[in-house]
Amino acid sequence: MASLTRSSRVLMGMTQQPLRGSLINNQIRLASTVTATTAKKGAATKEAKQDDSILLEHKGDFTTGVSRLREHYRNTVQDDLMVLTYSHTFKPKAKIPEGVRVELKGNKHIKPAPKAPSSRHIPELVKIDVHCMMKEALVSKYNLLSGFMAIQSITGEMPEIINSKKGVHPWKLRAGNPIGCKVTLKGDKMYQFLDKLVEVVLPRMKEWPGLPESAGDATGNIGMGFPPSAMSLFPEIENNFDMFPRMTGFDVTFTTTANTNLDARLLLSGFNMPFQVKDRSAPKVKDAAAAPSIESASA
Amino acid sequence: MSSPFARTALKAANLMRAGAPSTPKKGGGTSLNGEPRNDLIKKVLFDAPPRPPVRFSSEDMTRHETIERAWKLVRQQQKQAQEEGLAKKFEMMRKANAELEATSSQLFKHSQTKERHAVFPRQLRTLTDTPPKQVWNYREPAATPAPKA
Repeated sequence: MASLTRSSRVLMGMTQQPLRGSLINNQIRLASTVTATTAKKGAATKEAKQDDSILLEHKGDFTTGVSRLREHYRNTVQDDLMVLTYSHTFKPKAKIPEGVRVELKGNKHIKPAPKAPSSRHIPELVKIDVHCMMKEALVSKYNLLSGFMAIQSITGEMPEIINSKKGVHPWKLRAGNPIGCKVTLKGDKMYQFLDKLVEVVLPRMKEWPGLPESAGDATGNIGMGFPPSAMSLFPEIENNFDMFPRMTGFDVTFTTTANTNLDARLLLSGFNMPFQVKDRSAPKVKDAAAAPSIESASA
Repeated sequence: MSSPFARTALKAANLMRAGAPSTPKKGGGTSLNGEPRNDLIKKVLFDAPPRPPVRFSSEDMTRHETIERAWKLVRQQQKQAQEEGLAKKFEMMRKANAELEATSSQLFKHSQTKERHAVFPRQLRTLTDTPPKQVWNYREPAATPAPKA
C-alpha cells in the first residue's frame, strides 16, 4: 500500500508478539511530555504542522497475521467438539431462588448450571494464566526480577507482581510482601504460548507422561505445574540462559468455557496436548494354546 | 489513555526502585542483592529509554482508521459465516438425534453414553505450512484406547 506513511507501515509490520501496551504506553507518555516541553521556536508553519499531528494511542495488538492454533480450532476442533459434547437428553437444572442457601453434604460445592447445548456453547479456550511464586523473594524482593523477566520473555506480556495477603511467621512471610508474578494471556498471545508449550517445551521435558486422565477442576478448567528445569526449555530463555540469575517453576491454568472435565480435556487434546491414556480394552485370555494375537504381540 | 494495565509498569518500577541505593557506588555499579544481572534486568525492564511517540497527520489517521475498520469487517464476516455453518450442522445433528430417539430407544441410549476419558488422538496434528522432520512416527503404537465392551 503506497499510500501508507512510514510510521503506519512500521505499525503494520510489527511482530506477532510486541511488548504489551503497558510498558509502551508508559514510555510514550513520558516521551510525549518531553517533546511537548521542547517545542521548536522555528517557523510558524512547522509549529502548525506539529499541532495538527495526532498522537496515536497504542490500543491493543496490531497483529494482522493468522493464529495457527486458532485456525486449527475453528476449522477442525470446533466442529468435532460440537458433536462430541452434544447431549440430546438435556434437562435444565432447577434454578435456586435468590437468598436460598443450599448446603451439600461433605464439603461439596454447587457447580454452575450448564447451559442447553447449542452451536454457540462449544468449549473454547478463554485465557491462560501463567504464575510463578519465588521463595527467594522472601529474602530480597529483587530476586523476583529473574522470574519477572523470564515470564515476560516466555509470554510476551508484562506480568503483574503478586503481594502476599497474609503473613506466615514460620516462613518469614509478612503480609503485603511481593512474592510472585502472574500474567493473563488472551487471544493471539494465548494461542502462541500454547503452541510453544505443545510443540517445543513439552516434548523436551524428560519423563513427562502427559496430563493425568482425571485432570480438571470439574467446571472446565485445567491447571498444570512446571519445574524450574522446564523454564530453560523455552527458546527465549534457552538462548540467553546465563542472563537469568534464577530459574523458577511456574504453573499454567487453562480457563475454558467447558462445563465438565471431559469437555475440557477434549478441548485441550484437540490442541495436541498429551494426556495419559490407559488401556481399557477387554482383558486378554491367558490361554497357552491360543494363537498369539496382533494386540499381544505389539503390547 | 486509561488502560487497566497502564499502571502495571509504573507499579512494578516503583516497587523495584524503592530501597535501591540512590547514589551509585564509586568504582562500580550497584548490584541488587549482590547479583549484577539483577541490575541489568531492572534497567532493561523499567529504566529503558523512552520510545518516540507515533504522530499521525489527520489524513494518515483517517487512513489508519479505515484500514482498521476494513479488517474488523472482514473478521466479522468470517465469524458470521463460521457461526452460520455451525448452526446448520447443529440443527442437522439435533434432527438426526430426534429421529434416532423415535426409531430405537436402545440404540439411542447407546448413542448418548459418552466415554469418560475420551481425548483426541495424538496423531491429530495441527496443520503447518511445511511438513515436519519426522512425517510419521512408526515406532509409537496408536494411542487410541480400545472401545468399551
